[in-house]
Amino acid sequence: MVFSSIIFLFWYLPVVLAVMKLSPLKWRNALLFVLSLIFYGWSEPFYIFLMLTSTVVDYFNGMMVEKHLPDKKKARRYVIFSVVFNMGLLGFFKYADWIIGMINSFGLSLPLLGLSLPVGISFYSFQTMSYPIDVYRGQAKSQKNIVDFGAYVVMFPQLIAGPIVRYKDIDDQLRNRSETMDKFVNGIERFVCGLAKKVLLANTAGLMHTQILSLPAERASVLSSVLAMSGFALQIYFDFSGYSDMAIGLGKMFGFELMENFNYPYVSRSITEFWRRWHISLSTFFRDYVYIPLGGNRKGIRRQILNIMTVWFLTGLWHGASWNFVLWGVYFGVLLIIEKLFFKQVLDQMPKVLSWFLTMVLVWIGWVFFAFEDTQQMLAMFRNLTDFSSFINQDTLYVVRQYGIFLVVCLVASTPLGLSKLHSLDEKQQSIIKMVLVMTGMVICTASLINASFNPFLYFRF
Amino acid sequence: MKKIQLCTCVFFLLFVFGFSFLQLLPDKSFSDQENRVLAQVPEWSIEAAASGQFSDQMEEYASDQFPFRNMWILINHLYERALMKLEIGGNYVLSDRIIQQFRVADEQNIKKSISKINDFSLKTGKNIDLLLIPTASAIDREHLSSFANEVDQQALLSQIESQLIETVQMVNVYDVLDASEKDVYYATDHHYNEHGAYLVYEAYMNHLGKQPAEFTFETVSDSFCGTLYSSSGAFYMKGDKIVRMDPVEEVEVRVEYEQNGEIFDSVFHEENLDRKDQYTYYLDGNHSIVEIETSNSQAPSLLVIADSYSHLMIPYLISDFSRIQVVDLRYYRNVISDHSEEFDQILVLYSLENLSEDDGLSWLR
Repeated sequence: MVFSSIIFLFWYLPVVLAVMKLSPLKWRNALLFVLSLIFYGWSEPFYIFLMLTSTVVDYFNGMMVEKHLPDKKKARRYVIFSVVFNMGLLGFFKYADWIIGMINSFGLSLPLLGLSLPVGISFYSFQTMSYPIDVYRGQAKSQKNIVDFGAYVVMFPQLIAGPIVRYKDIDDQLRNRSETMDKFVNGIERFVCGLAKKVLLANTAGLMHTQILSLPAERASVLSSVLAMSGFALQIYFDFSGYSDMAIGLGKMFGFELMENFNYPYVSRSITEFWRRWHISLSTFFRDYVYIPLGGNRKGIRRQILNIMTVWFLTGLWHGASWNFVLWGVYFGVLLIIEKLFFKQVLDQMPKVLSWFLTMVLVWIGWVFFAFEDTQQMLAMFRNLTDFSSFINQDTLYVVRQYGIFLVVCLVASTPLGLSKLHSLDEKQQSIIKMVLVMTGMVICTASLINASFNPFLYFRF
Repeated sequence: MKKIQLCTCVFFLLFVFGFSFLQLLPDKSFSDQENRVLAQVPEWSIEAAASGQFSDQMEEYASDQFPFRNMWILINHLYERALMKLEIGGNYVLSDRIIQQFRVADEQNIKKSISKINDFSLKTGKNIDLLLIPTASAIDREHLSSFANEVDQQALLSQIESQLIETVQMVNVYDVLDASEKDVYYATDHHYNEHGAYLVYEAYMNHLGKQPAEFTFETVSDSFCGTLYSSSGAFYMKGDKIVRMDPVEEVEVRVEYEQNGEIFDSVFHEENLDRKDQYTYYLDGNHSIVEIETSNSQAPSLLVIADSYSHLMIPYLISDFSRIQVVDLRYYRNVISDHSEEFDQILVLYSLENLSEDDGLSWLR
């Protein structure tokens, strides 16, 4: 089930709200567990068992790690088992066919498995894996209650597209969370904000992207291509950050505090800053569970460069079983190393507009790698972007005319301007504005959902 | 401030719970405004659930049966207009009319269809007349924003003309339609209106060297809300007129729909004016084959290979032919060439946009 659907908003959500708010406190984790399974099983009835297996295995792993904690070596075995198990699952379901395809390109003809990717596996396999590791590191106590642990893994707000919640961050909240009116209303505001980002901004930006690409090749121009890639950049940002907002908002409505996942990435003035603002839960996950254990920056510059490249190779790979994602990850790895070595200082000394512009150009180039799994299409896009014999044409003007106001809205929504304007008002004015936004947001989003046939969720592939 | 927060909370809960209860209202089977059948409760099966098909169908069902669906579509339409979009739901929505979009011509498909027509003429040894009707985005271009980048239909027609063999002749109606002072298209539908069809009829008669017949006109409806109305969500637009045309010199007709189907004595269908798609007043809408015999038994016979643009053309043609057979290749898949001998004239009548989009003519054989 996805949040931006009639079924979720008008069937599932009212049931969950009624059940969770009216039930006794001590039942709530169990109910959350069951309701989340329904949420997941709605579109993936069989892969539920995969998720439950992963949950049970790591529940025991966590306990065993804690039990053997005095003997680090033994405890470590269970950690390694958990990592191998979870990465094995992820590898099998996500990458098996890709690898078979590569082997076959050397002349073999092994059969493809043809398995569909279980929704959310990239997210929950990371989460369950983080648990024994956190216990091993002494950052969390093991969870004795399997229902509480299950509620953590399958909790529906963050289940299928993050943020990637780490066990140690939610440990306390599982036993003890406050559900106040203030938090509930806050949650509503955040949820509707995310819903509007997804339904009103991301979908339209995606439409703009595909509309430009659907034109015949001879009608391409440099500016049209820039607009097409901007459509993609806006779609993926509003889609994913909208989803995170909805997750955080829903979490709040039920008393949870999930970590922030995006912080206006498109105002960044360096690639280093961009990755501090983009998909924060993923980059901190890789930092804490890959980069630092590999030695981070403590073992000399050569080792650090190797570590950075490893992390970014994996980050790229995590996004999908295709070389273009690996290329995208490696591209950022290289850029980050260059910034680390000297370029960050250069950027910092530039006029702000210039360093921002340069960063965005690099990020946009990254999106070209990311957007096209087909190499021919990717190369065609690069050609169109640099073929200055056709800089602007009638089709470009049409796109500007059709989406002009929409693009201005997106531009403002990509910056913290609106929020800082809002916070400069007194509290009463703030609440009134928020109330009006929630009301209009819900009405227009519902109208758009009813109207829409164009409602794909980008981050489902990961 | 607490009060305002309470308002937000109450609104949200009322909205979510309210509409979820309202969904218990009885389901509808058909939407008049959208002119389509609405999704019903899908059947559950293990296969459908496993493939995700069931959950997709449920979403479609919930969306189609959502309370006050038309109101939501209108709200969405107004929201898109507020963003000053030129194009909504794939069409240009202007204050007094909606114009069908025609942004890219599928030249491959057109070439294929044209060569099919050429082949048909060679195979049967018959002359063919070709009437391709440009769409409103060319003829009404003065109403469109200068930003719209539509197909140059005049150039496209010339390009097509150059692909024709000698025995296939195009009757180019672009200039005739373009010169008209009166509107030649419906405001809410993609078809030409009775005036546009008359101009095309006149041009065809001139091409055949005949005198066009005279007609009396009578408005039978002013509430025709066409396909563009349905797909755009502009549910505030006024309806179009449906006009009945009768030859001054009376003609009797016998109209048979499909082979050995129902028989009528008129090309007009009064009863269809109660339907949403009132264009079906003419020749009862889409049929794979229609056979018309008229009281002008001395006149020649005509085979029309056409899309829905023929429906409004036939009432004009009955004065000039003894027998007219209308074949719609979007639905008719049998061989035609074996009985083309029976006809004195062959006419291919298509909307230019449809010629680009549709591959029905690939069945012309």
